[in-house]
Amino acid sequence: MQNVIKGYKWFAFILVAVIIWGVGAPELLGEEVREIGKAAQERMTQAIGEAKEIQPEQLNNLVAWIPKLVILLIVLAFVLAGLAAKLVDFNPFRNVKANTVNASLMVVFGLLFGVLVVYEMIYHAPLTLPGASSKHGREIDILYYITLVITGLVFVVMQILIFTFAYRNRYREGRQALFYPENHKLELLWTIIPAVGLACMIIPGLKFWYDINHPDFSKEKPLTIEVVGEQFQWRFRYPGKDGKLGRHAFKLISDTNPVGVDSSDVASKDDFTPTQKEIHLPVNKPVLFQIRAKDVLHGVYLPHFRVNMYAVPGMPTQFAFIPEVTTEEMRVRLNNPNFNYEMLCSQLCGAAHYNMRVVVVVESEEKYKKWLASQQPEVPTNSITEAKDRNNNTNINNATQL
Amino acid sequence: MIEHQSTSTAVAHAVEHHEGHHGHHEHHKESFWTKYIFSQDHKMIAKQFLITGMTMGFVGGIMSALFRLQLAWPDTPIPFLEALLGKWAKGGVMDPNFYMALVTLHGTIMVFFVLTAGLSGTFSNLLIPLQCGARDMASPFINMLSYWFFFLSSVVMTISIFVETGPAAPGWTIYPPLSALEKAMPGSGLGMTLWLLSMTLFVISSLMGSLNYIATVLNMRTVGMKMLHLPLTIWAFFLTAIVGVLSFPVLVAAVILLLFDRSLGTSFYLSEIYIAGQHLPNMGGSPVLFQHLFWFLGHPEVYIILMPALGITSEVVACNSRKPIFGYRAMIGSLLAISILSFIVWGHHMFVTGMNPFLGTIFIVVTLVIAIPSAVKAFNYLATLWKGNIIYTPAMLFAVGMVSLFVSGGLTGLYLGNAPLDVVLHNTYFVVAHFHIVMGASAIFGMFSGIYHWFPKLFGRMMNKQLGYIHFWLTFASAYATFFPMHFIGLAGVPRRYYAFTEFELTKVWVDVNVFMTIAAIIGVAAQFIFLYNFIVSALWGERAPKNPWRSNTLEWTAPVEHLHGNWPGEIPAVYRWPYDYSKPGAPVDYIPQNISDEDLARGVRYWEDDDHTPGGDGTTSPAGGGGHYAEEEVRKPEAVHFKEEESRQQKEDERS
Ligand code: HEM
Ligand SMILES: [Cu+2]
Ligand SMILES: [Cu+2]
Repeated sequence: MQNVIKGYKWFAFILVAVIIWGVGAPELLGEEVREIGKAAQERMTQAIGEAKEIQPEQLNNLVAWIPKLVILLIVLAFVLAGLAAKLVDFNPFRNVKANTVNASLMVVFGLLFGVLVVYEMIYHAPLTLPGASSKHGREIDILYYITLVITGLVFVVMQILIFTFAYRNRYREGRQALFYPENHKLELLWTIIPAVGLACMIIPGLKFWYDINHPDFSKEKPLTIEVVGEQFQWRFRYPGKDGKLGRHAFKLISDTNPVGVDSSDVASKDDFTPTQKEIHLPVNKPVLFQIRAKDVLHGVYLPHFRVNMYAVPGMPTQFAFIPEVTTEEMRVRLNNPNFNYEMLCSQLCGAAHYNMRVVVVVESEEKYKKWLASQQPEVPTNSITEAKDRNNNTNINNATQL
Repeated sequence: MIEHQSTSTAVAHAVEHHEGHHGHHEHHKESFWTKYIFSQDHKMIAKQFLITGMTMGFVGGIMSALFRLQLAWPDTPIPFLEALLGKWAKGGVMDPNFYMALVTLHGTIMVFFVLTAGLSGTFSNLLIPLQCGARDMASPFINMLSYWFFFLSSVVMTISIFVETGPAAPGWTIYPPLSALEKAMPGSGLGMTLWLLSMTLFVISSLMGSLNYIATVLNMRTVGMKMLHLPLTIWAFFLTAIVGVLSFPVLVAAVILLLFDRSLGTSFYLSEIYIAGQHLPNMGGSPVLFQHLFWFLGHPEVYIILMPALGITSEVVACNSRKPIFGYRAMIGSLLAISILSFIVWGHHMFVTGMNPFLGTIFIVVTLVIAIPSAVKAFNYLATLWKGNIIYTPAMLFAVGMVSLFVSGGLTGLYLGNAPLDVVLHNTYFVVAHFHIVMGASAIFGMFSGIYHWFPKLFGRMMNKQLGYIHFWLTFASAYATFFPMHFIGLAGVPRRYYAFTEFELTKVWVDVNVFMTIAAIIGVAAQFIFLYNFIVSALWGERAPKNPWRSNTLEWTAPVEHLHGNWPGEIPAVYRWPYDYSKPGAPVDYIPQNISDEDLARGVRYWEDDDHTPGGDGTTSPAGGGGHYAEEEVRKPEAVHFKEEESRQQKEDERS
């Protein structure tokens, strides 16, 4: 068999098949599947609409239909091309040099890639985290922008060079490649330049890393909160009026004493666990999370505050930060009255890892005091039962049934 | 071509030949079993690795399509899932435990089975003897064992998919205690045991392979093949093997300690655990210890994956740009630097795991330093393209794509390597974007490049190029479309390994983007079937390959197309030059194979084939540019080609006179 696949005709059909199967499935596979597509689309428009307050109709038209139309057109074009080729036994690519086509496609691709990057910058970058709500977080943001500028520059320049070189140096008859095996000066130069660029990132990086790990408590004692991860929820313990957390011990953990508080320690008498799936923090006061885990690894992740630390069974960890923006201020800043700070689990811990939500409320000193007053100290004896709504998030539906 | 070998080398080869092999292709007939199954021929073993790796690759790829469906349409019943997965997708909604299992197996299969064994196993096996000029591996028998351990390992991993409690599901990094405690998730039962068993077999296979590669490169190079005459592919495979030998045993140690913790009640990784209403007796262990051991392999492992892809890219880029690779020594130097540095950066995966922050400080510095040799490589590829005469074979397309992806993904490493930034980004989709682009996509591109380039060597036939082009463009587009948006999802603080984005305000926003990425991913997976079709059909019925289809300089193309046990029918060719004499001024055509000496050139030895179709390749016009097969017009009949060439030659001559 000399010419296995008469390329062009087959492409058309394979491509069409691929695209229809992959993309068009919800459109083309009948009522049931179409329902699925619709439901998903509705939910996503709703989700975006809620978050960004964009008119759902607008989104429907723009986000949902443009890709579909484009795909439909492509499919159509290929069907027609394929049919035409088949009918007339005509090869539209007969007089085209594959080399030139591929080289040109490099440019086209480079441009499309540029479009993708710009599209992402316009539509998706605004959905990323807003500026940090904590003191060290602002340093991290500075580092982010330094890195973004340096790597962004390199990224754009390098990609442009790759795609233009790929096009300009394509094979043409009578041309000859330049025999140019090395140039030590050049190589030295492009060893040193990255080194300089890296230094610009390493130096602030080291400084900020030091700051994160050496929080300054000399002026003000931190509010120490105990965070305990378990499958599949977070438990918190506040120190109460004395500002001191009571001791805890692993052996004391039981169904009725979920974090193993030692009730013989006086300091534990006024400790309390928030009665809702949310924790409150006073603004501009240092907070120290003392982190433990009961069963497997978890990750304490508060992205808005740039806080992330594993909860490790058998090894306490900690993370200190100063919240600087209240929930209210953030709602105004983001123009989103439903905004809430959220705490997630960042380290895979099992089936309901995706569902360990805690709302974090940052508020003014007075409001915080009010909230404190509303909380009941918990008597950590065996008689106490778990606070009722504390564990709302155990309804992890199908996850727990297994 | 070989008549210039001195008698002493001939003797040396005769001896080597005699020792290295139990005979020659002419001397004894092989049965079906020794030829195709328990083969000790490196070329056959390379094919076995490739086909097993590809099979696993399709399994892993389909898994990714399945869990992407879940991410795009969470909670929406997709009836065919139930048909496929049974109890794991009751009513068409995937179970979260099974989602995790799919993610875990996808990662494991892609990282180890496809990009480690499939990539190194195929190309080290094929090219080390052929490009070094050896008749086979140092130990063909251990080489065969290496494949069969890999095969066993693949079988065990595949079996684990069908266990009743489900396959392992704690992520490919299998952090304990999740992976140690059956009560923590169903997958940590038998599924995890099989995972550990499979990986132990895998490491054994990898060690046997690597030792063989190292021994072969060091001891069995042909006459004249100095280390600095080795193609960059061999340098890459060689250093990869060294890194593998030094790091994989640590994984075995980690795995065995984990087995002890699971079955014998030891406490290496476990301490103070209260689970399912019970206090476990384990005390004094540390989960962080496991992470240290794991990443001591894990980080070198990512370079074990990347370096062969870089080596292949170097070779393909140089050959198809018809230009020497720019900065040959710098390329070797940067490979060396990467190999060494890769052993001391593992802590960058652990900045926020409770590791001592001071250690973090050191890991920041070394991690960012590793970007320098990586950058040098990228710049050198660029300089190689510059003023080249690029011929776009599918292999070359994939090589250029690889460079683009390598740059995109390497740069995001600089965010993650800087600990303060990693605090926000650790365990988010940003990490997923980073490693899928720099490791996943770019190494797969390197692998495809290698497959397209050496297919004629593997199967003696050509692959269809148009299908190759389509495969490339679809794959390239879908790779960026799938993984690029993930950066933004990560920057929005969405953690990875989330079964559904429905529970947080923070995550809900991205469900529509997930739909887009899922569609792109499915196109990407589907495009691989074009490749599969092309691969199978071409291997069986493709056009017969000429001896040196890409007009390449390296030694494998001096061996005959049909596979001989022992590679060369006569003497092994001696080597007189480095492998990158492309477009050298004064040469009759735009390449000078390594086995052509200066005397040969002076004597006017004709080393190129007529069917090279090289403009000027007939030696009439000296320093010739090159077109080769692939620069020809595409679908014309061969006669037409000759005709047109005759014509243009005629024209040129007319003009001259
Ligand atoms: C420019 C050099 C690079 C730097 C500075 C870098 C840095 C990092 C860092 C710091 C992480 C950990 C992120 C986290 O978990 O928070 C990471 C993850 C990763 N990197 Fe890189 N990287 C570089 C290049 C590469 C290359 C070349 C590869 C592979 C070929 C690679 C593969 C990976 C993989 C697989 C992970 C994720 C592992 C996991 O958690 O599952 N990286 N990289
Ligand atoms: Cu978790
Ligand atoms: Cu790493």
